[in-house]
Amino acid sequence: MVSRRALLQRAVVAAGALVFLRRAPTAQAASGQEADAPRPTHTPRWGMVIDLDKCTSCQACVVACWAENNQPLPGPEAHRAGRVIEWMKLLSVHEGSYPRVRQRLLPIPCQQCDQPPCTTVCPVFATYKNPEGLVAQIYPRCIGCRYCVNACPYTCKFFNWSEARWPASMAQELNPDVSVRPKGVTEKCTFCHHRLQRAKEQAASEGRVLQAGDYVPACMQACPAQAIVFGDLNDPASDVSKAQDNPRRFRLQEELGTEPKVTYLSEA
Amino acid sequence: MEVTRRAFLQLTGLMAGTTGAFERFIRHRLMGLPAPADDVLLTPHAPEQWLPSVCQLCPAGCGVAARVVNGRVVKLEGLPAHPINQGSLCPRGLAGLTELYHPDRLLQPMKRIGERGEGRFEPIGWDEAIRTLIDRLRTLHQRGESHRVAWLSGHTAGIAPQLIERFLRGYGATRHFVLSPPTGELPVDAFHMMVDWQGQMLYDLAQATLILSFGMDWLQAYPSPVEASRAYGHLRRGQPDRRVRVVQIEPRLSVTAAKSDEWLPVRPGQEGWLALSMAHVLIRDRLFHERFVQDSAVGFEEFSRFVESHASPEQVAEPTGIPAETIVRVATEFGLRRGLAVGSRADALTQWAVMSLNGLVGNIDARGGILRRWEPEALSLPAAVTPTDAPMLPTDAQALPALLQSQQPSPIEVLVLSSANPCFLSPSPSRWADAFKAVPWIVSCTAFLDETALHADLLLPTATALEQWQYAPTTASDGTVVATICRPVLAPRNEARGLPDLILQLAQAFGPPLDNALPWHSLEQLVMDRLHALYDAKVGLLLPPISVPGTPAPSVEKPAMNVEEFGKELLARGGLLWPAEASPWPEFRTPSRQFEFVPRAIAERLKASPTLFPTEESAAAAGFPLQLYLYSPLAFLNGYGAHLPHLQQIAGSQLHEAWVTWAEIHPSTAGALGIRDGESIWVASAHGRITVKARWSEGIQPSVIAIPLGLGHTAHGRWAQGIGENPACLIEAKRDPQTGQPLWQGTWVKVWKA
Repeated sequence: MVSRRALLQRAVVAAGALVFLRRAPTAQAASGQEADAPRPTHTPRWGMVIDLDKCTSCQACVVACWAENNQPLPGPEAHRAGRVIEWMKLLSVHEGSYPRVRQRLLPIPCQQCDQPPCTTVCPVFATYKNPEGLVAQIYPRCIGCRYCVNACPYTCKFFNWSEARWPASMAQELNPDVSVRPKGVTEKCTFCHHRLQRAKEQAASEGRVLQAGDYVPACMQACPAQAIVFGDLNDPASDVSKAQDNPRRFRLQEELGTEPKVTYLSEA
Repeated sequence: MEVTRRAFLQLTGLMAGTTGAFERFIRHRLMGLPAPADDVLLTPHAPEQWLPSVCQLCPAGCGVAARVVNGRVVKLEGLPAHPINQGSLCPRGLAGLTELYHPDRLLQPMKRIGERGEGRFEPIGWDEAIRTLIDRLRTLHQRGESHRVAWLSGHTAGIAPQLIERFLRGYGATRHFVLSPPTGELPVDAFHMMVDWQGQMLYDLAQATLILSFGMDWLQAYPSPVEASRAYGHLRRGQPDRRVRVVQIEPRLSVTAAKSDEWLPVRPGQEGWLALSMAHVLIRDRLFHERFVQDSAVGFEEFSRFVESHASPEQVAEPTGIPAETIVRVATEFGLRRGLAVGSRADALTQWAVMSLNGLVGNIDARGGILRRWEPEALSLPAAVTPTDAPMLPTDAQALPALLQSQQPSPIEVLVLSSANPCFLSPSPSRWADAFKAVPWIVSCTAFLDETALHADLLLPTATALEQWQYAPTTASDGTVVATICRPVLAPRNEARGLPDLILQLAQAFGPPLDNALPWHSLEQLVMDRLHALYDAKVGLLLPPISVPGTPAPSVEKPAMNVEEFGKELLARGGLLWPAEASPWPEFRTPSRQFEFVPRAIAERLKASPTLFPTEESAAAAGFPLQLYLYSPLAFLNGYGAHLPHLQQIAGSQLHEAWVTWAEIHPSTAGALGIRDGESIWVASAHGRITVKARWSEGIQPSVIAIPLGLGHTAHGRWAQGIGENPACLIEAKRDPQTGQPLWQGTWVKVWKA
């Protein structure tokens, strides 16, 4: 015989467990907040500004991203098939004709849209926008339908058509903080989310809140021209908010209403 | 049943051990999920370390911070506060790990068993390798034929070049040939003639007030690419209310041209006329720096007489293809702003023409202009005890093939190669392979089995930068001197050895007199020696401790007390720096002790003929209507980089090309020849022909076809071999009469559909 009290107790425990399980961290989705970490006063919203007038198209960002995020090695076959995975890539556009010709060169990471078209089409909630504005991808949940790949107007989602392989000696240089994605799932720029997790852990271990400069994506760290500014868009005093407040600013395909959190500053 | 503590622990241990295996069984066998690429990734890692080192993928000498986890290097970042790169890195540096862990690296000494060039080698031990080499050297030394040993090296950074010179001097050999890169070198020949006959020059890009570049794709091919990019960012948006203009003069819309405010598509080889006509405008409109010209320069009268009569904007408009009014406008802006004229190591006359513009605006030994490289005395190695003070003979690497074949038997009996690959990257590379046949014995110190190493009799595997001790002094563009000094980040892979260590070991094994010239057993010992000397000299500033975002902050700085603490701190931080202000600026080192507008070699040339930059219409008449323009993308700087897959992938991003040799051609030119975009074409000169992929581009002078250098390897690892074509085989082995440097540009070609 189960008493009323016992039943209610069990129900509460079950509900609690359910809530706990639903909030359990998943591979890339974990917000990384430790229970005993000091609570930040507000939720950040991560964004990036790329100043094209500083950018020299050297592509240090492209290689830094490859090296940081264990992206599969490029090769001639993948290139010919259009299947090279490059989370950060250089887009080049010629305008005009000789001799009045201009060439625009834009480094393109995931635009981390505030209204991401890719998340709404995912049938299994493998891709979603996390509370800090990062468009995340949960690799173990992805079923490889590639709806999101097609939905992204910036072509910033990449499908693993084949298994990523490295020669044995080169497997040693893989970043231990980043998972190697299996064949058949989609991947994308995460704004080096693993660095955010590390930075949060580090800040928590020092008993402080995250500060500007704790969290720097690999592309920004590598950039020789210092063309990339990154930070919290919700903080009006952050470098990225200040950099964004510029008459040269534009965003890619704004007319689509995607509200990208990557802002470009035009050349002149 | 009673459970003992021991049994309980055993059981839990067993369970923990089997859980992983059980999970793997379920995931990979039953569910068919792929196995992780590397199980090491799943193991929790030991505390990471950030260790300083230096990048040696080009001679710039950027400081790197290597992230080491479980003994593996997993990422390279720029060394924060290093004067060259200030925490950033270029794509080459970031790809450096791929070179370290490259699967096709040479990791064991080998001796040749097949024919030269055939590529059949068998592994031998280091003892045998060193003994073989020492025996050869000793035999020659005993016969009094030390001069029959020569060394051919590439353009390398670090301590190795100094050690090579000492080795040769100590041994009694006088020939050290250094191959210069095909593009992106500074115009040192003009600098030597006009400013300083023995110094090294720097462009103080970041302080410039206008950058006018004559054919130098300085954002891509520059001696220090990170500094070039850093300067660009600073010039454009790094200073409040100031944006410095950048003008690019080049036949092709390079990345630099694309990032410039103005692109002047000059005909190849005519950049010098353009510079002289701008000098004409500066003199005519009195826009030059009168004080500098009067007080610090000679030859101004002669120079102005020449440009007044031969280089008016109207006269040069036709050969250069640039309208006279554009020349006047750009020259006026250059004079008013006192800009910086940037050139490359082209032919001597072009170098001279560009350098004279800097003289006219007084931008020599000046901030934002041309500076001189200097090195603090404390950094140089102690004077060697050498048995001979015989001067090193002029060693013009391009003359080496002819020298090797000049007599029977060859004047060179033993040739040592290091970081040099002339069988790939020199005009008409096949002539090097022929010349090597005449040399009885060739040793190659190399990290890869490249085209040149295939012709060696003995291969000695060299370590990459991270695997060695480093003692690498270098100078930043603003004159700051930095010595990157550090220990190896990790032990060399397999049997590889650092080149400096190898040289020192050879010297020790050889015994007197070589061990007097190089009295160190290893580079480690040399570094420790130097640490003591630097501590005693009490000069230079320690680099700040390495601080990486998201990692614990470095411990608080404390003044180094004794020499041990100083050494420990220095090696942990990565080196010492000397701020630019402390550098000495002695007078110009020319025969007149002043800046020479018309040095003697140029005066003779002007007297001989005023046609300085002929257009060679005869070539067009002979059935070669197009001019070939060669360039090096940053990925293949100095022609080196195609063996790294990431660099292959980014090399042609301007046209979205990769893993193939592409040729840019103007649509009107291509259309007239019936060539469509993306088609395969033949490009042929009088010396050779290659097939490449034609790419239409609006960004190219219509009489020009542009091809990148760096592809077309027949060896050098899996990602380089058999990819693309090598345009070097189209080039005639021709040298500039004044500088002795190979002339890479100026080849005429014809093109047809393949």
